[in-house]
Amino acid sequence: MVRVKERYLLINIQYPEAKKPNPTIPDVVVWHQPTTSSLSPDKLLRAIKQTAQKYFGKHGQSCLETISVKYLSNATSTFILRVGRPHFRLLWSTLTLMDVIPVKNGSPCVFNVVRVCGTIKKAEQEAIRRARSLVLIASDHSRAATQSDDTLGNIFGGGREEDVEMVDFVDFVDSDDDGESEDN
Amino acid sequence: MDPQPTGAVRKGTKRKDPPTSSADNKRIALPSSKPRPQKRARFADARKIEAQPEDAALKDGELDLQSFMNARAFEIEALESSMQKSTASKSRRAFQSVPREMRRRTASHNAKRVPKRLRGKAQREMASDNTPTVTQKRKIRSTRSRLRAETSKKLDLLIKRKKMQMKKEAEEKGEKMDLDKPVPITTRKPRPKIRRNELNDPPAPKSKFKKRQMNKTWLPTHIWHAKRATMTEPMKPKWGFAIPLTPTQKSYRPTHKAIHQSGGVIAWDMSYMSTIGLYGHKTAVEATLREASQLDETEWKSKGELYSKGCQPAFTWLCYKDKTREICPVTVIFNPKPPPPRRKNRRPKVEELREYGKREVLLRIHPSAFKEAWDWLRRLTKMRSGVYIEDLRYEIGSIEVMGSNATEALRATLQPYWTLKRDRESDVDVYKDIDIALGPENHPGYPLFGFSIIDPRLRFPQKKIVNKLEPHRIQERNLAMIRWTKTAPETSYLLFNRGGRLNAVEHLPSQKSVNKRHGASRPGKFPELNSHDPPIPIILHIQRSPSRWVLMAPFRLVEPIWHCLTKCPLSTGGDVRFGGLQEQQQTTFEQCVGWFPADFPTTKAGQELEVEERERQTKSWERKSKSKRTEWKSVDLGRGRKGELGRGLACDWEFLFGLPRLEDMQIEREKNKEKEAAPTNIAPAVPMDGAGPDKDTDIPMGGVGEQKTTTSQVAPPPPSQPQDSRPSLKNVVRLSKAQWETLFLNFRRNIDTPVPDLALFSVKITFMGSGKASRNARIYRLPQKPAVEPPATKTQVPATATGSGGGSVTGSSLPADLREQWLSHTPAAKRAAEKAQDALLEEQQRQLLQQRKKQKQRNRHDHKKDILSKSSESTRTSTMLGPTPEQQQQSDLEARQRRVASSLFQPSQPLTPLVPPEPKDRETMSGGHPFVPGKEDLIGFITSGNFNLRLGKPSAVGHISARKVKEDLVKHGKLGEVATCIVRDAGEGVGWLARWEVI
Repeated sequence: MVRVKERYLLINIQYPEAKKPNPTIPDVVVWHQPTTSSLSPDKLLRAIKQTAQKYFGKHGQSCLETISVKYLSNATSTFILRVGRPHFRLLWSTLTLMDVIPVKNGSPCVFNVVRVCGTIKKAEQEAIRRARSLVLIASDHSRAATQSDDTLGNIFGGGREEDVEMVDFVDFVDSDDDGESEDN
Repeated sequence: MDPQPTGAVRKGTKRKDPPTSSADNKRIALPSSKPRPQKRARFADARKIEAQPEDAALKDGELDLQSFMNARAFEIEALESSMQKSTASKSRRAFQSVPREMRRRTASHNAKRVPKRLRGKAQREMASDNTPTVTQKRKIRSTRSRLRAETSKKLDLLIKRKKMQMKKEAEEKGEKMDLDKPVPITTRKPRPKIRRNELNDPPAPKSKFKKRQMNKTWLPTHIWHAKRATMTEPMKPKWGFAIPLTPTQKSYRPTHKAIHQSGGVIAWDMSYMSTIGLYGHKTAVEATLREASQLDETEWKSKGELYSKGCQPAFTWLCYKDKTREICPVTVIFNPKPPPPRRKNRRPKVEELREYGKREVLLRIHPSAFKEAWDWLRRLTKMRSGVYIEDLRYEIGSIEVMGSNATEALRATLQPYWTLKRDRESDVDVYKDIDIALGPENHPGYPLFGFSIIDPRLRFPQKKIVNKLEPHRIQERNLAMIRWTKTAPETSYLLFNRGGRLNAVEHLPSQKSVNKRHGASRPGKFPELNSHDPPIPIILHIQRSPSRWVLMAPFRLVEPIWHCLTKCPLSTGGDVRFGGLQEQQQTTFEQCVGWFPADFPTTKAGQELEVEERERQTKSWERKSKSKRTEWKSVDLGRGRKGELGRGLACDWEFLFGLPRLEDMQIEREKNKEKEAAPTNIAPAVPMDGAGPDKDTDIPMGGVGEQKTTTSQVAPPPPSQPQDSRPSLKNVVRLSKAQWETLFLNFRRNIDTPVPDLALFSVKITFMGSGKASRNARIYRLPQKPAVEPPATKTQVPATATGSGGGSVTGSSLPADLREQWLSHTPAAKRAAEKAQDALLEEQQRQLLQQRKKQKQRNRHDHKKDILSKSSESTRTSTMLGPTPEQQQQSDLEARQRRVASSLFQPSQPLTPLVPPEPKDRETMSGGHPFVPGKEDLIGFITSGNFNLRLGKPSAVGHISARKVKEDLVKHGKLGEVATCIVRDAGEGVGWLARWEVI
């Protein structure tokens, strides 16, 4: 039997240009800060489709006609999109071309596709993994803040933060490969 | 407002439900009767993932580390629960995961009925659902069971006391004692007895299953089959066994596909097949064999060496001394290396061993004929010294495997035990190189392997095997295989050795220990063999029509082999199916050969089955209402002939030959037995049937038998006469294909071949055009011409006038040209008719042209006349052919064309008719079928008929009277006409043209 093949994209909204309100807040928290609650799934979808139309014309818009938001967490700036398998690259590039939160006076941001999967379960697992690692990093920071004289801890804490970005990058490449292989 | 009953639950005025009585206070809210939206809501809920708004990650609108971490923690939890929910939403109840083909599915809402591995889950589900369960209370029903219960109570008490006492004693001595540990008592299991020249008892079943095997024996794989197949009824075992009849899953077409289209395997547990061991000195054994079977002198001279050296098995028939009365088909397998003779003084030489050594032979026969074969062999061996037989029914079991991938499945499952060169058996080399791409139907010759295998559970799951052979070497290997089938094996077959069989049975590791060893071995590796693992002796050979592998192994070891074989992965991706009796019949039928015993009415086993089948059919017929069942007396055969010939629910051989009924004979025999037994009080060692054949053999092939039957038919003997002197169905013999060929050739050379009166040919029947046939269908020869009525037909009035209406109308009332009518329906005749029609058309054309020429001339003549006399003009215009003055104006060509066209449509002159006219008196059955021939032309019956999936059209297997065929041959001489027959289903008036071929 033939069944409809889908792709699930796990996306993080990141704020590289956000300013630190308070020096005690670690960078990682600022980077992964929550998204405004006025961003609803509907608005997000509309914005994606508009962007697709802007850059890819009617073809792009119609390709992304059936995308849906499976999960949107404003508190953690994470969402999962579902798209038909042939069009996930188009969606990905559309997301790359978006640079603000699609609400009134939306702050500048980056939509970072961190994982492309064939099932939602894998996307969820990846989201859990990332959330865990972020919690670990954040807890390291809080410990470092309480024991600010622990220089060694500071150094390693800083190192950890760098790691997250590294992980992001590596995974990004991996997911790309996955997509390739599944396409074939 | 309406007065509301006190205590009514309903509030508002709007009533959707009808008012209920006041007693209905405690109305329970029924669950909504819309399961679908509920289900959808459940799924939607399962798919939804909880998420927090922005504020959860902020503290007073500001970024905060702790809130950040909390938001993450919430997310992790939400995602995990989502995954769990979506898995749970598609999970099934315990009983839903029982495989479809497993029979118990129907009652498996009961946790006690589901397989053990699911029982816990089912119990939990039932508890959570509040499913009411019933625990059966045991009632003590009889005095005996009450006594048993009391005794067991007393015994329990005694055991407790004993244990307490032992504990006390141990404590006094200062030792500790574990009360729960059973005191080990080791006893050697008694070896099953195999007695010479005597029947053996079936193996003692486990006490748990003893009661279910009171009147039958289970196959080694009974429990496996009982879950997946329809078995024989509990009180009606077949041939002493509980045999699977057919799988519960639909399997007619899949069975055909598995065998005839690539990529399938079907296995049968054939452990119910009987094996008889024949032992003794070479000459005695061979003489006994030749006497008991149809292995005649010429065949023995040419192939006897091959057989006796164990190169290939012999497939023949067991029969009585006259070689015509058959018992059953038999496979004869010799042990290639017989045990050396015991001599004290000197060691025997090799030649001596070959010459004077003992021979061991296995005879594999069908269980329906076991008793008869055993008695006959027993009689023969009694007459000779130095030869004896053993009943190995429960010692040796077998599996048959069919299908294009059968070789692959067997090769993967059966791994040779001894692989080192110094001790491996001689057949192993060839077995290891066997071409797995060839199914049994494609393997050349009759290979026979005898070697020992490893317990297949230790090599489970099987690895896929790759054919080592390159394609261009296949021819070479086939030749080598044929050469190998003619070379004698150097080692003896261990399966012949009782010690070898017993060793394997006794030392077989338990499933528990096998599992443990699998667990201990490295992943992807099989456990290593240790010295306790016994070699399992097997014999593997190919049997034809239909082609299949036959695997013989010790009876109790069939089960582990079966379990592994049925789970064998195939290279085609298919799986190994299994079959029952029906599938066996089907596969045999598709090859257009007879299936023993049903298609062999001349054997005793076949006759017994026939009687059984008659009873079964009659019972099911009687159960039907009168309006729905065939009324045999009013079957319309055309021309006022009413009534079925013979009994409609039987292949009525007695009617065909004018013999007493089989059922009556049985009753009579039983009476006689009682009479005989009463005064003498000595039960004969060999039953009556065993004594019968020798007397019957005195009947020569030709005249005497004929005379006997005719006299019996003219005046039926009084019932007081001893039954053996009277011809009965037991005297009917089956003639072989070779005998038919000699009959035909001799006829060509004008030599008269005597044919016994009571003889049948087995025939395969295919229809010329459309047609159908099922069991009990009647076979007629083409109707004889009434002028030369054979005198023999008059004697055909049955002694027991069963056909009530059949005899009322003689053949003379049928149309005189009935034979021609039937012959005109053959494809050849139809082709000829078409040709004739073409010729006629041509002739007509020619005539037409001539006519037109004449007409033209006449027209010219008329034209001249016209000019002369205009008075006749008005009459002319009415005729089509006559030219009007207007037409004369037109061009000549057009006029001519018109005239030709009109003449074609309205031929004014009578022409020769297009087709020869149908005689006005030709009467036919509805649908233009000629009448079926008369009773005197009935030559036989069909024993099995159906649509044949292999041929893509219906076919049948039946039997026809040899004498009547010979009559027809003598009278008409053309084989094409003689081999044409008319087949009519029982209870129907319409016959179909078919062709028979002796098999």
